[in-house]
Amino acid sequence: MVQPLTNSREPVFSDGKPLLEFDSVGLEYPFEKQMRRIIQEVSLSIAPGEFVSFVGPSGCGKTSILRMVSGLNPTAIGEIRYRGQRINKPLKNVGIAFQNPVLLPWRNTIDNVMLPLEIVQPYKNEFRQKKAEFIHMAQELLATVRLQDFQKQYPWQLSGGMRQRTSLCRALIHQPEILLLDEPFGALDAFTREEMWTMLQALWMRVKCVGILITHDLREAVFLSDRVFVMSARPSTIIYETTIDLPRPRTLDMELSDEFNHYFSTIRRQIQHN
Amino acid sequence: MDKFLKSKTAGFVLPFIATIVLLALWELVVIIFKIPPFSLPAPSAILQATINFTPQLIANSWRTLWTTLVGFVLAVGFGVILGFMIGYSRIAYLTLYPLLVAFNTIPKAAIVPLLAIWMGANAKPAVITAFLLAFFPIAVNVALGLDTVEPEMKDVLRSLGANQVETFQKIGWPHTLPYILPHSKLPLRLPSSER
Repeated sequence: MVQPLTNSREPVFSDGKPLLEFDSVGLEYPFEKQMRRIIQEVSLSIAPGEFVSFVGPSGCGKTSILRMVSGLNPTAIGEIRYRGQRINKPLKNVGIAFQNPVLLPWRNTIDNVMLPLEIVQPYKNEFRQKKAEFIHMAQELLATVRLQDFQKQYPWQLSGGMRQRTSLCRALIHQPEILLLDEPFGALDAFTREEMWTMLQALWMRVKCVGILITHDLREAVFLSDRVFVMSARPSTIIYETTIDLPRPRTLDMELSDEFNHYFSTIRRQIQHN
Repeated sequence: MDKFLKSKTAGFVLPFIATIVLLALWELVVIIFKIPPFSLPAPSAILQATINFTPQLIANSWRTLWTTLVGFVLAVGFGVILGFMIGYSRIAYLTLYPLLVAFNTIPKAAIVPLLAIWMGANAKPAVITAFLLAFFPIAVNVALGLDTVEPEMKDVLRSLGANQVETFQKIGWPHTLPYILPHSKLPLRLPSSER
């Protein structure tokens, strides 16, 4: 069944080097026949197994950062390096979840979760012979998010929260080194969202990958992250960075603690100052 | 009553009753107005003729069926390939799409005599007519289906390192199927009714 969740998270690729490095990353976008600067300059690095969040006002280029890291839209100004290599095309070993869960409507829950295994190597070549094992992997992930009884249901038979949980499992089944989350819980109600935080944390602690979260919800950022980056309005830079030193796994009770609220209000003030 | 309308039997029983009523009315109209058989034969006369000419009718129906099916299978094959090209390649879209639309406006019934002159009055023009009728809607709908895949869904596939063929196989084709099927039913019926 589900592996016990422990407090120790040893990064899989711990050779002391950062997994991702942002080197003077900028972004320009054509607007009314001239280039407008969206991101002024962002430089930072992310260690293997780290979970970071980017928060900031709308339109400051948060989503663009995710698209640049994934390689879907490679950087034109500055560069992002993955293990020292410049990212200039889509990375193969990432998992992505958007606000819209984009499940395939003609596949049931478990087949949706298993989609990456049909595409990413080495799983793709082993898919036929190891199918039973892969189904077991998918079932374990689904159990982590309490969807073990919904394997055969189709997306239209699931609630919004269930779809998003399925989407998270799909993003993680192929053991990606990087998990990219673009406001994944933005469309969910407050209670469901908090429940999703604990489930996402449980999933992430199983897979032990780098997590990069874009969010408007500061509590969500504090709850889930090892580090939070606050971005300014356009043209944006990182104006504040804080390490969240709360033990893992974090619980929803911690939200009421003074420490948690201290982190929250500090970040909140940074955004207000802007 | 409500329960009956929601049941599956209603879906068979009601159209059956409607057909019987229509045939009865038709029969009555022919008898009452004394319409001669060469203007409008009564359903009973049609049934009688069907029984008398059964072997000929079966032979010709079979011929219509297989020419239509061969044309349709060819149309699905080529239509999907062309639709795939137009849907995924900007060059193919720009060069081929206007031609496709232009060809599609030509009434197919107008080409049939030409085909018969070129190829003789055999199965070939029939197959080609069936092919032409089904080919355009299928190609256009495959291209349209590929174009309407959610961009985020494509991003999910791209971020997994999927190539274009895999993207088509995993999302493009299943997403396109409902765009092809209702239309492939339509062109399948048309060639048999146009000849």
